[in-house]
Amino acid sequence: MTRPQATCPNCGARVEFRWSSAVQTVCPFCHSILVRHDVDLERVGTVADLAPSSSPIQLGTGGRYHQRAFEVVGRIIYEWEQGGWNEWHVVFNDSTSGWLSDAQAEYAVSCLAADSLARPAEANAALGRHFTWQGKDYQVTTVTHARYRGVEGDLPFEYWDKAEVVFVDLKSDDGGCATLDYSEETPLLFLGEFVEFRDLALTNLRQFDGW
Amino acid sequence: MVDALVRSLTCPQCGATLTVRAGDHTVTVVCSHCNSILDAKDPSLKVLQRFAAKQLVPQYIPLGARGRWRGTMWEVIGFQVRTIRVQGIDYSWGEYLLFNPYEGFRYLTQYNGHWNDVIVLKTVPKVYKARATGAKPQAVVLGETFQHFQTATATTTQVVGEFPWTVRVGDKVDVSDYVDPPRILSSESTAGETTWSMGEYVTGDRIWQAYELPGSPPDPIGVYANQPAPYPGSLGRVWQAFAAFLGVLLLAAVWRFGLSPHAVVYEHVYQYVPPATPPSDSEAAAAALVTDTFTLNGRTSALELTTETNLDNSWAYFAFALINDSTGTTYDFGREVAYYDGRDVDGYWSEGSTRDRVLIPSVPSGRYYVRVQPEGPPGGTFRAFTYRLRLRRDVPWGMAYLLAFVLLAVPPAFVLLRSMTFEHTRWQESDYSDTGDDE
Amino acid sequence: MSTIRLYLLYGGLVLSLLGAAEYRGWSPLSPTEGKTAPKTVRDNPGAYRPHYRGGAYYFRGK
Repeated sequence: MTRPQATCPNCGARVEFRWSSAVQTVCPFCHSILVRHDVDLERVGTVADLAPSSSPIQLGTGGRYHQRAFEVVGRIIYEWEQGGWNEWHVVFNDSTSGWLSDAQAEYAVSCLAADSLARPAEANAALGRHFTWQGKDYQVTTVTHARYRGVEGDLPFEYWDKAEVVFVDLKSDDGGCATLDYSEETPLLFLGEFVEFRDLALTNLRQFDGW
Repeated sequence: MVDALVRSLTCPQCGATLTVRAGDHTVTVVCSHCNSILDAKDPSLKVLQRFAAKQLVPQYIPLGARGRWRGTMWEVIGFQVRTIRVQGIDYSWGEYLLFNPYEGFRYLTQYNGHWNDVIVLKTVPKVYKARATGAKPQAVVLGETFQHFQTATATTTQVVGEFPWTVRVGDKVDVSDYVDPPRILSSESTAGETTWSMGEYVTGDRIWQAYELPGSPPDPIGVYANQPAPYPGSLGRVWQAFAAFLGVLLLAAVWRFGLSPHAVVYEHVYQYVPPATPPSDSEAAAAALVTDTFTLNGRTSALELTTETNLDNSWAYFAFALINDSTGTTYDFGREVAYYDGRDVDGYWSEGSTRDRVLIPSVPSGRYYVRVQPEGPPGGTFRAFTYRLRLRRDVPWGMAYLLAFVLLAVPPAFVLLRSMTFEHTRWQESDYSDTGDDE
Repeated sequence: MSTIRLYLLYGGLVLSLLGAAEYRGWSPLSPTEGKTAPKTVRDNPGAYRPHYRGGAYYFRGK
């Protein structure tokens, strides 16, 4: 994977992209949110200081998902009434994007679904409702009103300063999961499955004192 | 860079020092000195609730204790007690929250000395209503079927330590348990949202071993919902083995009783006329006779002697001696035959039999004859009777087969009875017990 | 030892005993085995004395 480089327009530091197709990244030195326009970077905002994370995953963590190797290149942090969670942006060997969600050390890998799949309106995605995508049945199990908390690393789209986001989580009866993100005009659908920590064979994890 | 998950806080209510062990996972932390629940996400640790402490269930594993469980270290960071009320009686159990920064969270539950290892399920089970009256609702998940055991409302009555969600004393959830021993499937619902978890029964000894706790675990009382039966898996196999043994027994019986020749080696009819008056010993001996000689072939085996008489309301006694003509070895034994019948107010009755059958054990091959000394009630020709002696070789001993059957049946019957008693006791604790009404 | 193994062993034992009993011709009768009987018994059965005092049971029925 080639790692393109650019210069941070705010502090002049050398910014390296972990992923060649990154649309947005965060300068690791001054925490400026930088949007990529070919070779130039545009500063669009700043990420507030993030508290040290309790997630064992960090930028640069490697892993495997169904025999496909991936690297963690970016992160979106969300917060809600009962705590927070991370959506780690992972890139596979073939340069495709995926998401490793990490909520209280419960892990799931999912990918953005094709536009052709039908997305219900927010009002229709109520608890207990069933929807079918790609032949699998999913049931709505949680509706979360979350707040965007911060970003880190490379992301495949522009994403910052979202006020309130509604996430609808669905589960299937065989470990599959789906998420509807209602932050955009057209809701985003992610399809994937829950994974066990051990099955991901993660390397380059965060080290914790006493563990 | 090494990150710290542990931090110290000062309780705003009483000033005590609190330890938070799970980094930013922790949402609520309890100060056990003043029994206040604090908001861990709030920099000023806002007090969410103050509660009265109740010692309903002992906390056996202290906060901060680490144990090796399924190949990973798990630290106890929280403990809560929840209570349900069934038929006016409160039942409380303890729940330990275990944390590992890589693998997340799991739980240990404890009730009356019964322990369970619980994880949150990420698949949604399918729930089916009871199909017939008397049947129970079922839940199916990951290819396993669970029977409904109990539904109740659980109230949080005690909290200690920290939790990755908001917890308050007095919180209520609707809990439903489904069992497939040794596993238990539970659902917890509030406001339409349902969380499912799967538990597996573990013994207190395993917990004490993993956490290196002093002393011994509390003795389990009664039978728990998903406690494995005393003969897990064996019950079916024992009965399968019994069926196999029975098959062998039956085949052997058919072969021995049905197919083997049991040829008659000697047969003769005799008549006995008792004396008019009771004879003396020498007179009695004089009535003895001997049969012709006959040959017994083959291996040492049993010899069947059948005595058929025409007695009616009388008795006879035969002193037999089987004598080997070559070696002179004798086998002495006596047999009695008695038969009485008549008619009275209840109708026809009879007692005894006119024939006798006996097996002489382990008779080696050779040339033999039988000496017979018959006896009967004195009375002359009036009491005369005829008797037929029939000798057959290698006759099976029927009682042995019956004995074998009984002996083979005892263990499966015992195992079945014990299992049934165990299962009955188990279900007495459920919504389906046969004592009075249930919720 | 597991329940099933114990039972299989036990059942095997029971059937083996049955097999032995059948092969050797065991029976519940325990006749008194005697010393050698003289050849003359065939000619004079009355002279033979059984090896036990078998009695005349004056057995009266109903």
